[in-house]
Amino acid sequence: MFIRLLKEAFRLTPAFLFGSTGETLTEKSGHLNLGTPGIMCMGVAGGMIGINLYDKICGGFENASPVLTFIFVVFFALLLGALSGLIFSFFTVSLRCNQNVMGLAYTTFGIGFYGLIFKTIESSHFQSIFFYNNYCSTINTLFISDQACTNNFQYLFGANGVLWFMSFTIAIAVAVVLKRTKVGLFVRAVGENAGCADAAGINVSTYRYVTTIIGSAISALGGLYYFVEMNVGLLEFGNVDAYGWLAVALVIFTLWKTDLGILGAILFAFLFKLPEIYGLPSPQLNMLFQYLPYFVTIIILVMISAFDKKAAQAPGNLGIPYFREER
Amino acid sequence: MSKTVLEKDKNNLESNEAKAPREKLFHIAKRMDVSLQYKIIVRVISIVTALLMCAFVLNIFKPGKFFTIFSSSFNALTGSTNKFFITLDEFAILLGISIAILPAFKMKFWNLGAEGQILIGGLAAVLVSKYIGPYVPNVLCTILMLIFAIIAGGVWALIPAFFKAKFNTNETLFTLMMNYLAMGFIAFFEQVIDPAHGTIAQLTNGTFPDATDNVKTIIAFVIVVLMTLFMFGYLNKTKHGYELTVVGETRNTAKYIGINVKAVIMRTVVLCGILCGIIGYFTVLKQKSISPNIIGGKGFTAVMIAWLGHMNVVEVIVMAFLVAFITRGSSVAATNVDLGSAFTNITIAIFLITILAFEFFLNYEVHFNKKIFKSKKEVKEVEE
Amino acid sequence: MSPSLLVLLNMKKNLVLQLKNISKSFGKVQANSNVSLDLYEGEILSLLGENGSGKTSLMNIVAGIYFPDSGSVEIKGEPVKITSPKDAFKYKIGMVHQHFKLVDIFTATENVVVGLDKKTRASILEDSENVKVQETKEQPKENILKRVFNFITKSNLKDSADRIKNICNKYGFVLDPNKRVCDMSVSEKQTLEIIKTLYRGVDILILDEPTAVLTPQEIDKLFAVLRKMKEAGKSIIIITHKLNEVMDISDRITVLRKGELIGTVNKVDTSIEQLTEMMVGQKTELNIERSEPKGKEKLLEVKNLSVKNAFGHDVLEDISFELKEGEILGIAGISGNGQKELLEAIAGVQPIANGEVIYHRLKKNKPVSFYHKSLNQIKTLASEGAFHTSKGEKVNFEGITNFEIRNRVNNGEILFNDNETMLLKGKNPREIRELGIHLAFVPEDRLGMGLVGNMNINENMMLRSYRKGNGPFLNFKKPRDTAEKIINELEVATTSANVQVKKLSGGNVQKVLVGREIAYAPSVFMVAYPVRGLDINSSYTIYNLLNKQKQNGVGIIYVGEDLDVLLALADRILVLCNGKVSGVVDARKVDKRELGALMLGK
Repeated sequence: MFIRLLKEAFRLTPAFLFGSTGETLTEKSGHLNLGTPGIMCMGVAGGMIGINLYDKICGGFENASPVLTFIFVVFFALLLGALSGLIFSFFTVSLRCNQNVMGLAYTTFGIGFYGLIFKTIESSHFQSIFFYNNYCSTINTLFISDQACTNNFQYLFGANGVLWFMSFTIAIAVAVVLKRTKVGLFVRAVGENAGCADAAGINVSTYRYVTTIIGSAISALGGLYYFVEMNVGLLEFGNVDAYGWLAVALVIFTLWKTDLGILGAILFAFLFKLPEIYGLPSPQLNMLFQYLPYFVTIIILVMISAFDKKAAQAPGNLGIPYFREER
Repeated sequence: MSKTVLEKDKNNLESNEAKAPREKLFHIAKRMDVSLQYKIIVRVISIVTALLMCAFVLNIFKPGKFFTIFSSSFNALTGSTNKFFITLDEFAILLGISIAILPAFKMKFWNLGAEGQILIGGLAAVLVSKYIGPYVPNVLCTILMLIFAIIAGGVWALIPAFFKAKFNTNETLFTLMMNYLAMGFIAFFEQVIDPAHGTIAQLTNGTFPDATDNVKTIIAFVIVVLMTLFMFGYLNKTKHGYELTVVGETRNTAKYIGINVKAVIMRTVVLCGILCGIIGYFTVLKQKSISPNIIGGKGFTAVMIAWLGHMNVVEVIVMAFLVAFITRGSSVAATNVDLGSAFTNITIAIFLITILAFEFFLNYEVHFNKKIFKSKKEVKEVEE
Repeated sequence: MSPSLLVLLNMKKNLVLQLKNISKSFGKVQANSNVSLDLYEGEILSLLGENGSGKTSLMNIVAGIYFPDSGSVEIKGEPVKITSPKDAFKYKIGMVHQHFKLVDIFTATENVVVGLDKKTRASILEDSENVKVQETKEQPKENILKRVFNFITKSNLKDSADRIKNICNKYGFVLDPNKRVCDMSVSEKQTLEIIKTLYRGVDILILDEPTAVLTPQEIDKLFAVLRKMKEAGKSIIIITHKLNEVMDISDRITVLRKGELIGTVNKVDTSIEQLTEMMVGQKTELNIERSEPKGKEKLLEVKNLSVKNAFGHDVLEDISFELKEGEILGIAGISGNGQKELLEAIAGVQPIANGEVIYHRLKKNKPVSFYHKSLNQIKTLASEGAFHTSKGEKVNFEGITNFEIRNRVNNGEILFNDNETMLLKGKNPREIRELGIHLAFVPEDRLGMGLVGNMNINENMMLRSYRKGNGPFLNFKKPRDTAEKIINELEVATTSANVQVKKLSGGNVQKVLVGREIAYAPSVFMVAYPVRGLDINSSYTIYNLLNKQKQNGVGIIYVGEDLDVLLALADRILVLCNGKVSGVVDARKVDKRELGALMLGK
């Protein structure tokens, strides 16, 4: 039972991890992107668009190549994610709009967009329920299935998709870049004090654009993972954005460190799956315990603010638009 | 001006451009004084553009339906009595929530938790109706429902406010998470009340099942109008309103004049919760039940309305009306052209994002580099 | 001025920077109009002018922070466009801003390398100035393993740290490259800023008010470094408004007034008197009248006061002093040594960790009013025995109806006890006021603490008095009258009292703030840097207002940075260093050097 719980938790982890990694990168440059849930929705939409286009090219999933399908979905998810980042930064960097409001508006947009894509494409495929499922299953033939596993280690770690591995790799890579490289130093300088960075000759706008675009593209992969590898194309409408909010909360929880983010995401996933796998004596309590992660997030928010004031520092200029000629 | 001089200028200019190709075409400066007239013009242009954008998006998904969204919006407003009342209901709720969160936002407290505060208020009303209703007269029951809704909403809002005041806990995420917790409680009580179906059946006690929806809409609307009037006075004419404005502007000034910042934060956010509780109450009155998705993200929409209305009651009324107008229009248009409810989300987002973009013109002004344009002209003249 | 000499100078040296007819405006404010300026190789040019004369704006244009509305910039005779600080570095221009542009949580080295990309680095390496040229150029040939190792261990930063040490040795700076900025003193931060520009190999160094935050001793050190740099062929522009420094360090002086160029003179050809005239427009008497303190009675006593900051460190330790009525107590010290915390602790804004602030009420028979007090508070104070009646009897409210109490208070029958000592520790500004103590306070941060920038003048007047009166509603009438009065009496330049305060100029903002605090009829008046950013005329208005208050018997605490003014205005001066009192001196007997030594804690 515990192994199954671990497995399920590991399986859920990237849904949070991609989002929190992307959001951390964005926030390190001083941008608070509350549009992350919406961008994750855009990732799902990207997956759907990719599958549909590939469907038109290959003509039915019987002929589909798993690798090509995978490339298509990833490409479109990244594209839509990057595009979202571009739009978000155009509004918040170039037009200096309020980041919170823009984020909320973009989340509303993303939720609408993937619902709409789902709806429009659904009406053109009568076999809709299994349409995405078929393609996503095709992709998943690339990997070892749970049934084929011979030992627990393989069951826990081996039987996962490319995106699953990518989520951890990207999280570590982002941590290394932010901590160890000059570019990372520059990004942190922009996020800490844009005025100083600018006076030192860093192009603040460019840095914010680039980190937000990359961060959004990473976040979009979170939606895609949820859609393709976790749920194998079977969508529960209205869950992606909830995961998105938890991903945003995870950023604070992990003190703006993406390597810690891995542990945080596993913990969140664990809490999420705990009541589901073990089950509680009554269905009522079971229902209540499904909301445990939100409660834990609140507890953690309070603890961070109450106990650790210096270490839990957000980037100094988080949420503040930069205007050089401000007097 | 003699020709030789101009030619010399031209040469100079060319050499300039060769050495410094990065000269900007325009540059941006902060706008210092904004006249009311200018504000109104920008606002009108932004609203018109936003409406056109919505129509444009509809046209992408259903070509040739460019004007559908306008016709269906007007249709939703004037088509029939029923449609009018649905639109009025939408407007009342949006305005109600926007007004309810207004003091918090004026204090720069990002209360994203209006939805949760409404839900928990509604849940309290439902529980009163369910468990106390059978034993008391109808009128008493409905009064008790209102009182408990207010208490529940207030307490729910007090939790994040308390931690904000005490530890400066990030309220944006706190209130957001409180929304999901409220949904969790509703899901829990759905299971408790009716384990078989997992929903709450239509309530009869204290919800006036005989009154028509339209009458209830009017009651809700009147309550919202009263709330709006109250809020206008509260924010602009009272000591409380003054205090929360100072706290919102600069914490240090508030400390400097001895305002008890913590108390003001808690008091103001609890007021938000109380007003949200009232909204929860009349939502239950009308729906006679409650479910986790009954508010459907209107809390976020209200946040954007309050912000884009510059926390000013009059502007908020206009914005809420426009958003209600667009929401109804796009939902009617969506059913007309088969796009589903997701389309409403998109139009609202596009509408609000466009207006947000135009905020830029209220805060900044763009100076085009006259020299480049002028010199190009001069060069042309010389060529002639 | 002798033109022949100028020509001679020009012949000798190369022109490195030329500004031609620069204009720049912010909204309706014209910061610079048609300003031209020349800078030669190996010279120190002072840019002199009052606050608000457009010196900083002009230099920000050279440094790429602002972009001019019109006019051109030429470097070594070639026209250039500087659209960003990066461009400025490309043309070897570096600026040390008055508010340092450093990232607090980074180390010195990290701050230096921030913003340096490969191209900029390459140009630095070309510069013969910078050491280790050979070594670094070989770097690309190193094997990949070593580079990966370097990457992981951050040794690329070690290289930079070494180069910083070399620069330090060359010019005689003292700085630890691995120290974090948030742990640095002000003068260390300034050193770091200068090193930052040298590291980039600048030829033109601009310093904005570099001496404002330094002690006289530190200023000497800075000037020595600048002279060394000048000998090394660098050109330096110093923005300042202090005339003696100008005469000390500069070769030539360019004077601005109200955004316009007044003229450029050689130091050898000019005098302080001439410069003053150029700066202010007419010769003004720079004397501040100082009357003898009137009373002898203690008004305020501070005993063993300690204050801790948010991280639990002591920012004030064991401060004791007393303030008498009708005297001005100056407080000197390098900024950030506890001045702000001291005033805030007395005013009740900062919590006091230890010690006590004692107020002596000297006014006789002050009637109690509902001005800032609720009925309950009056009842509590009465039970504590804080009042007496007009007939000199004890006040006892027991068994009396609220209505009756209200009547008696409103009739002025209830008076505060005379010669009462009151402990202010643990009370917030509102509670202090409720005790009937008028403690006026003009904080350093005018728009962030004293006033609300987004509110208009009327609404700002209400900050102190909005609680007046019963009931939940605000009274708009009184504040409007006060605003009107202040605008007229202090000649605040504004179109109406409905203008947002943040739109007023610095001097007018200060007049509104000081005016409001004086309208509060203070018995203790605390002011922090009241003339910072003000032109000379406005400064003198403020000095006169303070002196007038002093003659009325008000005890004034004046925190200032200009030692000349402190010496001329104050009766006694208390010097703070590292949150401790390093001395209390008689302002009539002490000189600047001694003050400087005390400021450094010697």
